Amino acid sequence: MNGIENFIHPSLGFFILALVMPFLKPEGHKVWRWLLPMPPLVALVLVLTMPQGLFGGHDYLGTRLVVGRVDALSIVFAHIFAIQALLGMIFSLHVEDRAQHSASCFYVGGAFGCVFAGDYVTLFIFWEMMAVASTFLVWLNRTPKSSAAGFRYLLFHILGGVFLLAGLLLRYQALGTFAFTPVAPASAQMYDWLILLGFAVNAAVVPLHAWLPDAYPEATVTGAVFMSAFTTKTAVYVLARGFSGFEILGIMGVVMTIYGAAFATIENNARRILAYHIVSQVGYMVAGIGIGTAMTVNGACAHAYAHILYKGLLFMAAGCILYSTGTAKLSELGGLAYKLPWVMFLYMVAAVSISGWPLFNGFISKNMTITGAAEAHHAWLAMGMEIAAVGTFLSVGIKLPYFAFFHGKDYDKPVKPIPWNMMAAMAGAAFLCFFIGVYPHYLYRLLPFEVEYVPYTAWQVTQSLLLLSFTGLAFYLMRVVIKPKAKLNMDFDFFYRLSGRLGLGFARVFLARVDNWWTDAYRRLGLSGMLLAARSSRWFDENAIDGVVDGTARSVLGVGGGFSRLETGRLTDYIGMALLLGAGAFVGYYFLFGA
Amino acid sequence: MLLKILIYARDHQPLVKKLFFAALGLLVVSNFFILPDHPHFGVEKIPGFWAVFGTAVGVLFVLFLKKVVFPLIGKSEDFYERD
Repeated sequence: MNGIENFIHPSLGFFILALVMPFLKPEGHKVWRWLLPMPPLVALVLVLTMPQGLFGGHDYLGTRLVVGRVDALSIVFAHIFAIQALLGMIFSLHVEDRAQHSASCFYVGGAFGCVFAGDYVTLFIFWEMMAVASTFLVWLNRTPKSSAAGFRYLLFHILGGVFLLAGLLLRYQALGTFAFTPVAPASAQMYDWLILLGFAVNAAVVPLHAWLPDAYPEATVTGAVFMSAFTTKTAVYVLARGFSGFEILGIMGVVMTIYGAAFATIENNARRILAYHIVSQVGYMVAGIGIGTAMTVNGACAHAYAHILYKGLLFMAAGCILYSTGTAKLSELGGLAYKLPWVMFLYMVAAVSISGWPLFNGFISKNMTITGAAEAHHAWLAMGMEIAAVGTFLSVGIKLPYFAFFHGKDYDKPVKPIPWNMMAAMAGAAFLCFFIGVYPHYLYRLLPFEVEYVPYTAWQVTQSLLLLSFTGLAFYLMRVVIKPKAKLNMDFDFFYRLSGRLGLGFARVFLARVDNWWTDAYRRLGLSGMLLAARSSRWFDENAIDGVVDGTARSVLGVGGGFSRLETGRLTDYIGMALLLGAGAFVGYYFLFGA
Repeated sequence: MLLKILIYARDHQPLVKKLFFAALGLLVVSNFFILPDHPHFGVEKIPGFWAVFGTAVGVLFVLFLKKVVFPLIGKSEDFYERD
């Protein structure tokens, strides 16, 4: 095992910037904003020059922890994470709120930490860091809706984290190791299934998915761009790493592809439509991993890479709509193409990419998974994915842009101009969607297995063109029926909220009663005794101690005042401070004991 | 430039419609000459299969979701805010 000198963790730059961010002056935004693209650029160089192997190992509780496992699988994910972090940072250059930048740095750093984690303890630490940091990207939107959605999001991810923690501890008890290694489907134990359940929460596997369409549409404009890339794709990575060939994932993946597209078809909020399409697209990846052949796992990784780019671009474009009009509801929009023509154009690049049109990156990745499924004799799964492809183009490729950009009369309310950096990031993402679509070798050479798949055959191109064009015909026939309505669609979050209410009811009725009873008993019995004790100690204090301690008291008061400023009484602040302390401890530990 | 094209297309909708249907027709014709060597599904060998598939799945998808599912799960926007 090599020392740390050959390997610098790509997350370090992000953590350093996140810790520096609170000390920068708000009025210096025009200057310090240029620090934002630095950590992703450094990470990109590090990923491109990284040697393969195991790095940064150290012993802990008699087991070896590894923060740097570098191989083909981790590199393909780290590669796109660095690129998307760069695009995301450029997209958020205009944001003056330092807390948002700090949160996204922690979040992206956590994602890199997960990708290079060689053991479950390291993975768990970064996994939780991502959960907390991304919660802040929701909270920092600073609306009542985003506060509530953020708490639901955090609670659900803590639940997923508890599954993961229980699984990894039981596994340690049984095997005596924390090493993060593949599980053979036939010999999977209870603890493996617990870990899988924890991963499935983050991969938004139906019915554990509802946190995603609940929280993402409430996040900040720029936060949603980051969130669309990292949480679910980190989960895809760990599934590919540990649970390839689990047949249940093949089936659940296809269920996800159709479920997401179906909910997107009846949804009104543009960002929620896109959130449901994360569920749908991650379904292709989960299915590919579940089928578990070299071609489908390659397809899953390629699709993750392509998906991060076009989904980021979709969230950027929807974010532009929200930024400039103040709403993302299709029922309130229409005719925007004539106000924001280039936003429409860049959105359409992402829309044809996600739909799998030839010349764009979805075509070379999605069809790889479908072909792999068919060749592995899973014709029904492949057919399910074709149905989802129709639903995808229908809802995100035509419905959303039609009702936002074209339908109805020209949008005549005021439109806030889009900052140049947002447009630049979108242009960069659109270029990559197209570039990978016409030059698939760029992506294929990064994949973990050798690629035998040829995307551009006369038949593949004809098949895709037929399927998608006639989906267009279906939309044309259904254009009146599909018109979005201003409604809320119940999903599995109904049950999360129900359990939350039951918990609250229990606290209100039962715990509150116990609390009252206790307070009462305390007042009657405890207080009189305490008063007596207080009287005697006061005498002692006044007569003996005061003279000695005066000086100390004053300094204690000063420190207490400092702390009381930190004690705001808001849960969100405490969680944020805990994150800062934790990450600070990690960076310190890494530098001191990393080698 | 882009805006000019968009406005031209908006003002010439019958033309856009004709071009769209011409493209659909062209694709189906080409499907008679371009067929898969190793079809994933047996039915793929029938020319026009994916055209019928795309249209039928698309129409049924929308009808089922908007006419059956949506009335069941669609609630007013303040559904969760009410007590």
